[in-house]
Amino acid sequence: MQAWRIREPSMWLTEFLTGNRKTYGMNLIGGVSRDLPEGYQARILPVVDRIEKEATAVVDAILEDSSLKLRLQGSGVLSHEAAKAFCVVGPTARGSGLAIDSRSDHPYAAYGEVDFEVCVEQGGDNWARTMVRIRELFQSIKIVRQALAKMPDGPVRAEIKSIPAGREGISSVEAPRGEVHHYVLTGSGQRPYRWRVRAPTYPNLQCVPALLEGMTIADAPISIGSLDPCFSCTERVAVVDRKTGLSRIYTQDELLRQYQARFG
Amino acid sequence: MSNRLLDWCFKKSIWVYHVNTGSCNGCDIEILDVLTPYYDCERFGIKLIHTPRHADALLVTGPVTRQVRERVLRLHQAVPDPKLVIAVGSCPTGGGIWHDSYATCGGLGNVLPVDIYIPGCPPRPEAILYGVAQALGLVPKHVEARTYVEE
Amino acid sequence: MFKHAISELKEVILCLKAGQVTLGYPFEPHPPESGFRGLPRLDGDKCIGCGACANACPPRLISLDDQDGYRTIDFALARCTYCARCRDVCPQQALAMSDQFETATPSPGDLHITIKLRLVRCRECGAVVGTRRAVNKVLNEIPEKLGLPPEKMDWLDVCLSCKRVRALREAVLMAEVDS
Repeated sequence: MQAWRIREPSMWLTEFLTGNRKTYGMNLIGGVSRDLPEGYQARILPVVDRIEKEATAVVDAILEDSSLKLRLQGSGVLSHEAAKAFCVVGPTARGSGLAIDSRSDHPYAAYGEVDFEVCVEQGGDNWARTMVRIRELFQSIKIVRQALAKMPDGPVRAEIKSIPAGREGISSVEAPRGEVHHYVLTGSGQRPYRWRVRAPTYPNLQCVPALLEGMTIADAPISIGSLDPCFSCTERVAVVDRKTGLSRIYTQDELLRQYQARFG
Repeated sequence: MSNRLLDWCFKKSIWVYHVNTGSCNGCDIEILDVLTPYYDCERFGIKLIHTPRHADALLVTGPVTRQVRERVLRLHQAVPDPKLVIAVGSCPTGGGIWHDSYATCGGLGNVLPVDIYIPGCPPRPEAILYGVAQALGLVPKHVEARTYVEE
Repeated sequence: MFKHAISELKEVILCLKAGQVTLGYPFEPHPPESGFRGLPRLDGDKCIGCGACANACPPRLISLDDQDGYRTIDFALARCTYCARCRDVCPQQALAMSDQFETATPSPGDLHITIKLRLVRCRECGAVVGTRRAVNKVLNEIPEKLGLPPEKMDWLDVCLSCKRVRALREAVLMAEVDS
């Protein structure tokens, strides 16, 4: 609850900056839809300072909490090799020692101009993933301060007269849960014809059987929760046979049998 | 007599069961925000409950996708009477951006009898509190349709 | 064991220091920040019925319907996503996002804004040229900038197809006069 309390001023700040707490409505083709309002530096810095101070106090208080450590350490272990094999992304991968982060691997927006550290932990258990997320909070604060200091003046949007139909685009961005890819095929009438998202939860959820193997049922919710799954971003698993072009959907039993055959 | 007692009790503190029928989770996080210290719905006795059979109200987010439609109907049957169905967000209110999609049912009104709609994308936690209070009959409605005709 | 006790003590102190932070809402108002994108409001006096908002709206909730002598523009705000694109593209600044967030209602029909504006129909074929307000805007604002001669103003209530026919006729007449 304390973490939720600390988070709330950032919601009020975004309401001031963009007009809404969550759906900022800023992204527009060519840039952002509106500039930040007057006096934004004076509003952002105190909130960021306060969050940093309070978050440090919380982290300091819970770090030696043995009930938390008993619950999180040693449970939901995803080894380095398994993380690579399942192609997990985001904090799930960084908690198992894989240093992958779209912001540093293929920088977009202004990430190439700010300095930050890719937080990696070696444990692979729930504790490691939690620590990755906590450290990333402080890295984000560092990025915000640098961006504020370096903010240039100028137009916020490039004028795009018309968008031709039949063009493809693909982008790779770091979301809180990992790498997210968007594919767009433009259509007529300045609207997209096809749009496909590969959300990070989709590969992350594939590692759940490996995560839960050997654990008790009580550890299951926290292990799945440590991946921070966004179930809205998942779909069924479909397999396409390249030779015949036929696709089929795997049932739960078949998936389980495949996993047992591969991992014993 | 017992009906009046039930009505009186019902207004006091409802237990809500939250259902996500395919939403982007924005409304779900705002519902969770209502439980956080700043908005604290638990001081009114409203709490999130883990099973629909103990619930008084269904808080539904998301445009109802085809896959979830049957489950939402079963959940609605599992909630005992008297019950409230509260649609949170623009998606269940009118379908949101997905109003004409092949994968959704175009809003909760097409699937269940809804008692109150709370529009917003996502609605502020204050708006959710206001909507629940209006569903319980504690506050009046503030919106009405507007028409303008040029002479 | 000792470290755990210290950690628990720190947690208790943290919670006690935080104290009670609950806002007074709903017993006191908690207005949103300025710039909050709440329920859209239309200023009926400013709207010229151009339909730019209908073109820009992502959920396509703005519909235009030309019937008899009126253009009816209906905003089905039940599915509004509060993105403010309509406000951004309106040439008359007729749309504004109010700060109203207490918009819960038992019937989505309450979330409608309807505006009816008089139409101008083509004097020759009866097709829709535009709303009277839009045509008046052209009459009042554009000619000075373009330097259009007054006799061309006569063509403003003629539709595009009939304008083409007129232009051809005029061109033919001019050619006959010349020759």
